[in-house]
Amino acid sequence: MYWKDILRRSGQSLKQAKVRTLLTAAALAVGGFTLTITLAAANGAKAYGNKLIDTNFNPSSLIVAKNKHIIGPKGSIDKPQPYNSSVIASGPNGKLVRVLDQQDLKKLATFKGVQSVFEPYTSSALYITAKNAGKYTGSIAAFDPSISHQFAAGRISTRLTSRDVVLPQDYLSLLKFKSASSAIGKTITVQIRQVLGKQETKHFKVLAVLTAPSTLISGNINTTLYVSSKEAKSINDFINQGTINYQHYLTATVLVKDGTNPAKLLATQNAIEHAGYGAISAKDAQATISQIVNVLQIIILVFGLITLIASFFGVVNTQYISVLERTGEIGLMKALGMSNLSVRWLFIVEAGWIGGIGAIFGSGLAVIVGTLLNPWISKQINFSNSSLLIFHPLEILALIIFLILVATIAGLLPARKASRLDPIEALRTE
Amino acid sequence: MIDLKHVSKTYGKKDSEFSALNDLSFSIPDNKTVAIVGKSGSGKSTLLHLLGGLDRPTEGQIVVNDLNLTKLTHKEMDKYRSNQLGFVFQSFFVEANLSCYENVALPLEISKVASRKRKEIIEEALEKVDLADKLKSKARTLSGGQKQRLAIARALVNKPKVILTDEPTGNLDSVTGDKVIELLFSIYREQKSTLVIVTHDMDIAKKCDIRIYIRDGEIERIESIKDKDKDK
Ligand SMILES: Nc1ncnc2c1ncn2[C@@H]1O[C@H](COP(=O)(O)OP(=O)(O)OP(=O)(O)O)[C@@H](O)[C@H]1O
Ligand SMILES: [Mg+2]
Repeated sequence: MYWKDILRRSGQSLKQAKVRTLLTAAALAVGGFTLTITLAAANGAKAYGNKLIDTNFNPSSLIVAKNKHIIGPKGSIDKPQPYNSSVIASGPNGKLVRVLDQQDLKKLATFKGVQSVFEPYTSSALYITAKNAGKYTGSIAAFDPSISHQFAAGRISTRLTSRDVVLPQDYLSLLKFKSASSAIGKTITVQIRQVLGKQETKHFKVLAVLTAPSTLISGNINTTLYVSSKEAKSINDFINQGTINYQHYLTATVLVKDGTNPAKLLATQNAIEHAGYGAISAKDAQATISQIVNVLQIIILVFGLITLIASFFGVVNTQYISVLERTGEIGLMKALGMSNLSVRWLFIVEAGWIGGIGAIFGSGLAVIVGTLLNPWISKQINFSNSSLLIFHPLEILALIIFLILVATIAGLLPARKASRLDPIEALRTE
Repeated sequence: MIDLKHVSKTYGKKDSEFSALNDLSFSIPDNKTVAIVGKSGSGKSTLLHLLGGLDRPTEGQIVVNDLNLTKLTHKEMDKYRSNQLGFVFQSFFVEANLSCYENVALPLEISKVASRKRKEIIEEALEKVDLADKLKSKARTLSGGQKQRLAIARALVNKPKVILTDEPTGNLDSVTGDKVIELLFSIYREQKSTLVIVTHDMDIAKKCDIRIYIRDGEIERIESIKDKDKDK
């Protein structure tokens, strides 16, 4: 028998048992739906992670810490340590971490391939205010020219002077500015305070207004005012004077010359790590995020596979019934000279059809529902303007083929039974 | 030419052995009509299944058109059935939910006749059994006689050298049955094939050139009618 005829005949026998076929396919469709959504969600999460890092992490820079391990549970020290000024308690649980000091920053600048070392010197202001405006919270950090920023007004031609400040858009109305452009050149006041209570007032001129970034790596960027590196350091030193945090920093950003070249970036990264520091690149950070996503994905995939196992037995059962129902027909086909192999393929392909129908229904529904719900979901989980569910056609195609394969394998045993029927016995059924 | 030499068929194992056919030997020349007659359980269907290559004899040799059936492999047996035989059974075994066209197409698909050649052959076969107007009708909408005629169309579509029928009128009333027999005979005359009919209806048996009477798995007697007698 030709393949074309086998495909047609097996399709025809499915049409004769429409309800049964659809119900069996529905079970497979549930699996297909779950798996499609899972894959799409993982794609979305990974894409979001990449975007997050792209917009917050200069790809030719490295984040360096005193600890070998920057990310993950090994990042902190669990046991008491002999006194060492570079180990301090930090983080929400007061965990011990090693920190960088001024010497480290200087040393980092000497590694081969390092263009510059950047330390954000992030500090909290007591309050921020402007003429005729109330007092608001905020933090101060050094402006990093290596990260791309979007400005609502103004721009930064050279470097920031000690009087310049870059103001996030959210402060405009609070500080009584009519618009972003009208804020340019106006004075704002930053009040800072030492642990012991000593205060200082600083005045800055607005140089540019930052638009809110589309993705935020942490919540504070919207409330961070950027000043020159020198000013940021002097504020940081003032606030931390007399504390253990004085001139100690968790991380520094090392800009690598020609760092977009992966080999050069890696060479510098290796050199820094070899000296005992921890260093991660944008790629490493992305890998960490996709690793977390992958683990979550595997968990959901396992559930999807469990539904597939259930539908696998559904197909086996349906096909056994199909063989029993069509005993006479099988006997006749054999009497007419159809080979055992053709009979077997007829039933295997029939199972494959069920798989295909289920897979296309399930995945199709997932794509439709996903596409319709995407904007709503993204809004609910504050995914800014990214899509949580991203469907890759090739991935879906592979999934459909996989489901067809699963159903085909489920059809093997019943098909074997059909091919082994004794035609004489089979013809006795009616 | 169908030639049987010392053919026996035994069912079951040693303790519960049952001899359905015992030492049958006969030979049928080409282009004859043959009736296999006998009581229920005498072994008629068993003999037909052996001739049709659906089963193999326990002992002896069967040669059909120079093919020694006892020596054929499984595959060769499939080929023998699809190329040389046409079957018609008591219960018609037509596929109820398929059209008449699809039903008749099955043997052509099995013997890999190119799909563009099929249409003409199928239409011709349906024409012969007077079902040309039912080409697209589902088989389930047909009457009993029509279903059996459809089964005959399916049996003759491959132009078989031997048509094997097991009680073809068993499920039909006598008028319809007569028409079906008439049809089988006219096809036999047209295609110059050998027609074997298993029956217990003596009226049908009397129309055949050769009558093989079977009792308890053995040949009781064989009657052969001279051509001129048949014409009377
Ligand atoms: N697979 C089998 N196993 C055991 N015995 C069998 C088997 N097939 C047939 N027989 C026996 O062989 C004998 C002949 O059976 P067969 O079907 O050839 O009879 P028949 O002449 O066609 O009868 P009927 O007119 O009722 O169709 C019967 O006694 C039957 O019980
Ligand atoms: Mg019988």
